[in-house]
This record gives sequence, structure tokens and C-alpha cells, in this order.
Amino acid sequence: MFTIAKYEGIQLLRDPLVLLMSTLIPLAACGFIYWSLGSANIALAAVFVPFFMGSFVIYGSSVTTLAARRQNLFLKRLRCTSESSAGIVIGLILTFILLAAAETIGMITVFSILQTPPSNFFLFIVAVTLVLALYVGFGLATAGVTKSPDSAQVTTLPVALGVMGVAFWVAVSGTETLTLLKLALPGGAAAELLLGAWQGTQWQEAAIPLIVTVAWTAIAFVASKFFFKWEPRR
Amino acid sequence: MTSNTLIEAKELSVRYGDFIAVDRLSLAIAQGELYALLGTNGAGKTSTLETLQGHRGPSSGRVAVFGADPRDIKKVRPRTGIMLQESGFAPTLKVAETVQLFGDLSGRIDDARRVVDVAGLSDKANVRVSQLSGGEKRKLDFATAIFGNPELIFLDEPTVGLDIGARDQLWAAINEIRDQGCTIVLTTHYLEEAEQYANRIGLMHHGKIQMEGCFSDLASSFPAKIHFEAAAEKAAIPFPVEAEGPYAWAISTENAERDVFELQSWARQQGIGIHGLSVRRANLDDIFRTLSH
Repeated sequence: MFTIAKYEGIQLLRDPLVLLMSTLIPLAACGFIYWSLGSANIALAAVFVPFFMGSFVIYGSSVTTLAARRQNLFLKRLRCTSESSAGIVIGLILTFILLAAAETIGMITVFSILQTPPSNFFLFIVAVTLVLALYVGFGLATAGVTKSPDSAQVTTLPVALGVMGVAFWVAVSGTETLTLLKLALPGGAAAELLLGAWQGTQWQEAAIPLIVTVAWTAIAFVASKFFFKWEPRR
Repeated sequence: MTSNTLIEAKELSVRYGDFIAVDRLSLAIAQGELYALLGTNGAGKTSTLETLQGHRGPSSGRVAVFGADPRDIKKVRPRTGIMLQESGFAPTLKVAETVQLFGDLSGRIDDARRVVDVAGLSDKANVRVSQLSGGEKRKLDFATAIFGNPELIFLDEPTVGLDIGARDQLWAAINEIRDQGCTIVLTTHYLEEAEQYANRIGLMHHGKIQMEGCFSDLASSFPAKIHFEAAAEKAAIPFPVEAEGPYAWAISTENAERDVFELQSWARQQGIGIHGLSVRRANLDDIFRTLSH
């Protein structure tokens, strides 16, 4: 897994434009959101960060990379080695996962310095980890139904926009109304979890959104096992 | 399974829904052997190979490589190199980096530069894969398969896209690793390669191995051919002949000596000159054509 990740990293470094865009654009977007929402809404900005990083750095890049590697038969080549299936797939996207994690940690650290850190720090870390994992699972599942890197522009739209849209809806409007719907939709419970953790929700109160978020992450990974393809359809 | 059998398939079947791609196939490949698995299009070679390589399981029957299920990649893959017919590489990685990447993933240890040299890519070691020609990519495929001197190598159409010189070079490298005791499973559409290099040949058709053996045994069970040129009409020649060109003929024969004598006697009696007379035993082309029909 780490061998594959190392060489994916080398390839990323050899494409400076892609590297720059993967790093600067998400950071700039998060900075803009913080500035737009204002310091009074730091919790909302903190919810936005992992969803944005997950959606664009992990999800979009993973789907495009896996579709490209499948289309050019590089995946097929890797399957002839001693590396496990899971090791191959995670190795190919590990660079993006680490980039998203680093950028998320960086932005939250900046928010914490500018304002205050999350009140329930460990719950917030768990929530961020689950959100990023959720996007990894969705990425693997979507890659299975994405024929080529070109079609990734279309196949990623529902999850990229839908999940983030739900997260914002929940973060902005709360869960006093339409509680069941907001918590059940993908991203809703995770947003509630992040917001609550930043504002000081305790573990017991966070149980339901935590369970729902874990369930959605599990669903995403089960779907990825079902949908993922190693070779282009003949 | 005898002690030196490396690959064994017993009553192997591979089905895709109602379609039977491989139909109760049995084979055994000994250590150190170069076994050529040939077959008509759609014969089931790819499905057989993918099962032997551990990419899929059998629908029924049994497969063992090194005595283990080939899907047990931790046990089998470190001892196996695979050169696919078609596969891709990361375009921005260099040749030596690519060999090192797949070498590291193979579970074996070797020097990437040595492997690059053996594959005939010494002058391309620092060139990006995207800049290689098709033939050079085949050599790179070969290099990644032989990294670390595996005990077993699958070579799927290894010389496709190579010019004559590169083919000879590649076969020299293959024969060298074979001399070191490597077991090789070869598929190729260049039948002369199988004739020349394989210890045994398995001919597949409709999901089964229809014929198996060393080339000379397979050829001896088919008639030889007498080739000649004679300015005569087909009906006038006292043998069932096939036309091979203007006044060029071929006769299938079970007894070449007798038939050549009779042909020459007839030609003398008729005052017809015979040119380019030769006798050729059956080759894989002939065997293949018989199999397909």
C-alpha cells in the first residue's frame, strides 16, 4: 500500500499544476467561507472544512484517479502483484486522503488560533475522521460506476453536491425540525456531529448522529465492494 | 500431483452464467517446463490463465499452483511473475521507477537496473513510460514480470509489437531464465515460437484441451505435406492436391517416401518437369486449421 502511495505521490509532484490546485483551491475556499460567515459563525465554517476537503480533495480526486488507472489497465497490472486488493486501492488514493487530512487539520488549527478550539476536541476529531472516511467509501463506490476520468465530472456530482448540500442545510437550519430526515440523509448526521462537537456536545448526546454517521460510512464501503470494478467493462 | 508438478488443474470449469468458457479441463505443468497454451479465438485460454493466475476462482474443479490455491496471493504471488497481454503503466513514472515499483510489490528482491538491462531497456532507464514505443512497453512488461527471478512466469503474447531483432532478444532472455530452472506458461499467436521453444503444447478449442504433447508428437499424428511445382492441371495429377499458387501444389501424405516416388514416376511418364520438390512435416498452422474445422 505505501509503495503504491509513494509512487502516486511522485506522479503528483511531477504535475505541479494539479498539486497546486489540490492544495491552494480548497484552502482558499475554506478561508473565503470563514471570511464570509464571520467570526460569529466559526462553528459553521468548521463544519464546512472537512466536507469541502472530503468532497473535492478525496472524493473527486479518488474517482478520477481510480477511473483513469482502470481505463489504462494500470489497475489490472497492480492486481498481478503480491499486494492485496485493499492495499492497491487505498495505496492509489492515500496521497489524497493525507492531503485532505493535512489541510483539514491546518484549517481547523487556524480557526482554533483565530477563535477557540472545538469544545469537545476528541469528538470533533472522530467526526472529522468519519467524514473523510465517508468520502473515501463514496469515492470507491462511485469509481466502480465511472467508466473514464472524463465521465467522473458527471458521476461525482450527486455525492459531491448532494452530501455537502445536506450538511450545510443541517448546519444552518439545525435539527429541531425535520429531525429524522435531516439525520437520515447522508452528511446530515455528520454535520450535526461536527457542529455539536465544536459547540461542546457530550458523547451521550452525540450518540445518535455518531451511530448514523458510522452507518453511512459502513454503507459507503459495502457499496464500494459491490460496485468496484478492476477492469473496464468489455 | 507429483512432487515436481508446479501447476495442476483437475476438471476445471469456468462458467459465465450459462456460457461455459472452460469445460472440465485438466492439465499438469512440471517444474522447469515451458508449456505453451494455444487455442482458437474464444477457446477459453484467457479464462484458464486468469484462473491459474488467481484472478478468479473456478466454477468447479480444482486448481493448484505450488500446491496452493492461486487466489492465496501471499503464498503464490511472491513466486510468480505475470506478463499480461495488455496492461498499463503510470505514464509519468520512468522505466527504472516502474520496474522498482512492481519489484517492490512482487515480494522479491532484485536490482532494478539489472532487470532493465536484461529486458533490453538500458538506454531507456530514465525515460518516462509515456515516451516509450509499443514494443518498448512490452519489454517493460517483461521486466516487471522477471524481477526477482520468480520460479513461475506467465507470458501472455510476449512478443506482440516487437520487431524481429527485439523478438530474438526477448527469446534469448526467456531462454536464459528458463535455463535457470524457471517454469514458463506461454500463450502466443506466433505458432513458430511454440514449435521452437515449448517443451509441451496444449491446444484448446471449445473450452477443452483437444491435443497435448511435445510438438514432434503432435506433428507426427498429422500427415506431412509434399510441395512441388508442375505445369499440369489439377485434374491431371493422380493425387488429391491443394493449389498453393499458379502451378504450385501440395499433397498431404502418410507415407512421404512412397508418394514422392510415385509422383516422380508419374511426372517422368508424362514428360512433366517437377520443381521445388520438398517434404514438410505438419506444423502448428496445419494442426490449428484441422482443430478449427
